[in-house]
Amino acid sequence: MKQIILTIALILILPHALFAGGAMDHVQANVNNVLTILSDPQYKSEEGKKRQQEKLVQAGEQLFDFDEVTRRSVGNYWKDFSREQKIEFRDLFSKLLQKIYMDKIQSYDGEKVIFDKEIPLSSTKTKVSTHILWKGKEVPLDYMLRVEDNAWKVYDVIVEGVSLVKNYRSQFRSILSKNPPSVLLEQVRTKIEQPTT
Amino acid sequence: MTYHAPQQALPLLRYGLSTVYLLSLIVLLTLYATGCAQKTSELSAPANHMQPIQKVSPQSAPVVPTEQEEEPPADDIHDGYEDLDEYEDEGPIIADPLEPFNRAMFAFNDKLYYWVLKPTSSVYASIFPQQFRNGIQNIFYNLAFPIRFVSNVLQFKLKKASQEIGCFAVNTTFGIGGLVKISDHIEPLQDISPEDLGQTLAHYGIGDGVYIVWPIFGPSTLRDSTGKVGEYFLDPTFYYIDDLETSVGIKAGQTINYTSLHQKDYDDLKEAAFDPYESLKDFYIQYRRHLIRQ
Repeated sequence: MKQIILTIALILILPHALFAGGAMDHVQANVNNVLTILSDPQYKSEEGKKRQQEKLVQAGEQLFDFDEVTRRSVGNYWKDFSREQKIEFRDLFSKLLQKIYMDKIQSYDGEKVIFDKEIPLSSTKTKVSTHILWKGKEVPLDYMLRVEDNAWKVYDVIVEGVSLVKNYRSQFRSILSKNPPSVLLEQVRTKIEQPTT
Repeated sequence: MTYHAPQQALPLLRYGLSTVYLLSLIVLLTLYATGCAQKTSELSAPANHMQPIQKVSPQSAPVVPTEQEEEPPADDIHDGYEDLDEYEDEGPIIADPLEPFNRAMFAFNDKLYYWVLKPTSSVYASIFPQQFRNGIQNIFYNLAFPIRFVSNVLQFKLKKASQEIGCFAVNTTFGIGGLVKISDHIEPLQDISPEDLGQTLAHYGIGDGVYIVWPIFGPSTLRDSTGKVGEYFLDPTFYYIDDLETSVGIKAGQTINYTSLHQKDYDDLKEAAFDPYESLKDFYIQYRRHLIRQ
């Protein structure tokens, strides 16, 4: 009897365990892909940088689920957005994130990335811990992933304990608690047009 | 033993300073009291939301007829996005009853940064090479050893306490008074997350209290500010430098040196932010919680 229960339990756990293996692979494969693009000498020229950016945006979309990043960043106020506003905000916000972080990513200079471990949080969510050796210091960088259509996608990045999504949410909360979604949309539009420093 | 006049004046100054710190401690304690009041009022607020969940017995139903309206509509599940779990909007990360004051101080510090600190540290950085500035930062880090050591001991983090002793010993001797952080090249002494008194208070269950932005010193909480007052007495400069101007000068130098090494940090935060005040607050609290967990 005990063996039967054990077998059933194993069968129940197994698919999750299989999933769990996939999350680390997903992060590792995509991050390594990004690093390959970044260190590829063919993109060294000014014109090459443009092509590199396109490649990086593609790689970013492989790694991240921007729908999820956006929705979680907005939090409870998401329900106040109309369908059109949701789509527009998603597009603008992911574009803004790409714009803000592109320069920083392109200044990559061979820093080593170490993939530490995967910590399953539930059957559909997991955390992949990595760290970057940056100027002789270890900077912890965690990826939060969830399963969507049998594939893992990242919905948040946590650098030294600071969650990107939660940081945006605290800001959006302060804006959306006093203003309608259209005000936030206007703010994203202006931010996208601002030149990067 | 003869006391020279200036030397006699020194303890006076020291006591004078202690009085200032005691006063600020009293201010902090008062703030604690209001902070607690804030917390209880916050706690009572969600209780209203709880009510619709409670089963309303037929007898009591007529007493609360409007309750039903408060119930969220059943179809309010956002486009098949089923769960927000730990990312469910858990409300503000910290109580901020001083927000108007804090925002004013944030604006002041922002101007201070762009008008004074940033230009000064840029000039400073153009004169002194990065290696030198790293060295200066290392010396300050080494000098603050008592804060980290005492905080570790108070939290019974004895392994970390002994690692701190090791770092201090190695860096002070072979690292020429802390100038070179030799300990970074010794495996067991690498990357020790620094402890402070604010974290020690958190270890003993003291909550954040309220969020405070101090002029010049920047973001903090009631608890962390209390810790800082204590750290003042663990700071060796407090005991060896008796002249107020010199000690302010040292702190200013430390800040300029630090800023010169982290020039883009604040600019980056502002560039990425929709509401820089909220962003910095959230960043500070999330990072502090990260340190407390270590």
